[in-house]
Amino acid sequence: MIERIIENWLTNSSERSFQLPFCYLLIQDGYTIIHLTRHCGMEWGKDVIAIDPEGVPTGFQLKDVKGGRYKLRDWQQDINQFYQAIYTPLTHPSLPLHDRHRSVFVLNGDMDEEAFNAIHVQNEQWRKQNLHYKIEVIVKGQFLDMAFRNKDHFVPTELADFKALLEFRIDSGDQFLDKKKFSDLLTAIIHKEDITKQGQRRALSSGALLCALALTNYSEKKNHWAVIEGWTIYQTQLLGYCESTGTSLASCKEELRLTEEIITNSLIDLCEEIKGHQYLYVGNLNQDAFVYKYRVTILMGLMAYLGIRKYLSADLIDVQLEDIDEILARHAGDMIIWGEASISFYLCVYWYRKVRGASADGDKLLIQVVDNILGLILTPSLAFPDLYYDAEDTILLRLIVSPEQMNGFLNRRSAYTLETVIHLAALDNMREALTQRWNPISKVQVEYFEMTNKQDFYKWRIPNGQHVTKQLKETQSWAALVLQAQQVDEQKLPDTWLANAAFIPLLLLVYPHRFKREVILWFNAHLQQQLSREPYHRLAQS
Amino acid sequence: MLPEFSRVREQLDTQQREFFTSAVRMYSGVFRDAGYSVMHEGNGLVSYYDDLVHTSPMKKMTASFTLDIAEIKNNPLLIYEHLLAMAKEMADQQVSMSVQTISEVTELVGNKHVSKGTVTPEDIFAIYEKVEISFQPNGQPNMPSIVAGELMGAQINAALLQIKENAAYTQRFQEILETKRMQWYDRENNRKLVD
Repeated sequence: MIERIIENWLTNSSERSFQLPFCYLLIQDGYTIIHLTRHCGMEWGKDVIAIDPEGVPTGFQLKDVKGGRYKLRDWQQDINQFYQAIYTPLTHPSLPLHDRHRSVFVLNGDMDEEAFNAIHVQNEQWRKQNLHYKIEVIVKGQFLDMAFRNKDHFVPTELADFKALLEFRIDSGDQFLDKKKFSDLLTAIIHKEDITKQGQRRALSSGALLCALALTNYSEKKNHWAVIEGWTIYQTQLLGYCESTGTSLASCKEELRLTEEIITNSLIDLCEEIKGHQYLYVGNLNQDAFVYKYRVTILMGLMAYLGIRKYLSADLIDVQLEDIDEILARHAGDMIIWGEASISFYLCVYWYRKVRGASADGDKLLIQVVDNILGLILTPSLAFPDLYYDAEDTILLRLIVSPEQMNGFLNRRSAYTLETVIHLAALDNMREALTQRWNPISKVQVEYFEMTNKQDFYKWRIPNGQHVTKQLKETQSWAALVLQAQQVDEQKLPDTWLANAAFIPLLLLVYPHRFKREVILWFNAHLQQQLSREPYHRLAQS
Repeated sequence: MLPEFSRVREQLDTQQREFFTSAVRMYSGVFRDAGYSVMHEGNGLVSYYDDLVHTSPMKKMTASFTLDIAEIKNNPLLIYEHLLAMAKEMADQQVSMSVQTISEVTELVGNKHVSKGTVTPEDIFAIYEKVEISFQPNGQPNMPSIVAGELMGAQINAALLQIKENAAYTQRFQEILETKRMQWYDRENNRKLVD
């Protein structure tokens, strides 16, 4: 059954969706992955660049034949692309100096004999000319063999997980990702108990394969947000594994780098797609009118995050910040605070404004957030769902649920996010704006979750911890407020934190319930520190 | 497999859950309209009242009923009677837990008042003097609700009646209310950022 699922997945995958599992299988076979392409116009015949176990740089060209056969005429059509792959040297800053490289052609189907012969003849010709060039081929059977060799770690062994995997495989791929189910699926394999150290290490790579397998349909549909969420959950699980076992991040650097690359590529693809839309409406306006602003909020948060990632990430990300500026200028006015889970999306835009040197716009946004939170909490007829309700949950709550269920939200006079946003405003010296609003602010009850073990931070839900409530002071000293805002207890943050600053805002978008004061203020201080060293001009020039 | 009528059962399950939730609220008396927060994570609650801390471990509430197949065969609607009874049981536990927590917090912050014998108007005044009362923009006070058992409830009602009918008590009550109004104004005026 497992073999059939893998085969079915492979034959129905496009280059886009089998690229990453293929990379993980290469890792299992001792390769080091250097680069993945985004499948845009600049592939140069090298979808994947890796270093083989003997240290030889290798370029892989992937081809989707939908499980069919690759014919001679296909080869004749693709031949120029292959010559490019062979004759053009592999260039990447991470590659060692080399005078030759391997070129491998990977198919998710079979190859006709005539096409094989043509490649063989070409290889022979090069050999007779004493040239080192050679085209190697991996066809479906070999690919499956690689997958089957890893099948014990490729799919979960527990029956319940197997069912979950099947559910993801038959999902249409155009929905939001069921994050809890996805997280459970990965937890079962990454956090397996009673397993050897070597087995644990293998389980991390297998988790990635499983992630790719489960996300295939989302990837096929170019459902970028679901793909980003899925890989962010995987990366979070990876960090959680390192945190709880004391494993160094360096030992998972291959997995982390690949995951970051796929997330970056998805963000860039999303950016390209948004650029192609004049309005961000989808489908029938009768229904879409009810979800439009929620969609815009998610997209603007993600685009702002892409800009932040470009700024903080050491790798060069192939995106123009002017494009992000234009997207935000055109659509950010349609964002909506649907509940507390939307605040992280606003904060990404706020931080991006800072990165671009538009702090005044960021401050305006911050006060808009404060006003919206106060308005929603203090107006009895308005509901303000907490951090644990994402966009879709909130729409369903507002449009469909019974008044009985809604009642609790209508009477909720507390917020997880308000105090943190106020602290950000205090750090930006927005005393006047806060003075004007302190009366309503002091009437809101502050809520937060204090976990017992900080190692649990990366879990989807944490069983051990305290739900804390407190009231803000009626009379608050400005100086004391600023002092409070400056104090971040780093002891409450996971140890793996510092090495992953660029990942933090994304984690908050995918795990909005991890919106913790320490997390936000730590990241804010980190960004501020970076900006004071290397201001936005560096980006403007890039 | 026997025919399961899965879709119908699913719908009925949702409907019965809503019926039950609604019934629990109905039986919750004064707590019916109280707001609530869902605790999505963790295993305890901590509340800060200025410098005082109140902790509440998680408490389990259970209620159940037994169905008699022969009975249900004749009248399936009996299930709703059972659900109502179970909702009442659940609501009683909720109310009792809420009252206990309020009692603990009241004692913690020093607002506890012990009546010596039957409840008198003086007891009522003493209670009002301890609690915070807020006011609406038109000046109307948001009077606190009084939750009491049957015996205590009768005594409190009698004391409240005395306050209403006795001019001296009424005068005293008005004075307390005015003090509360001034305290509320003070609180509102003090809600500010200062140096």
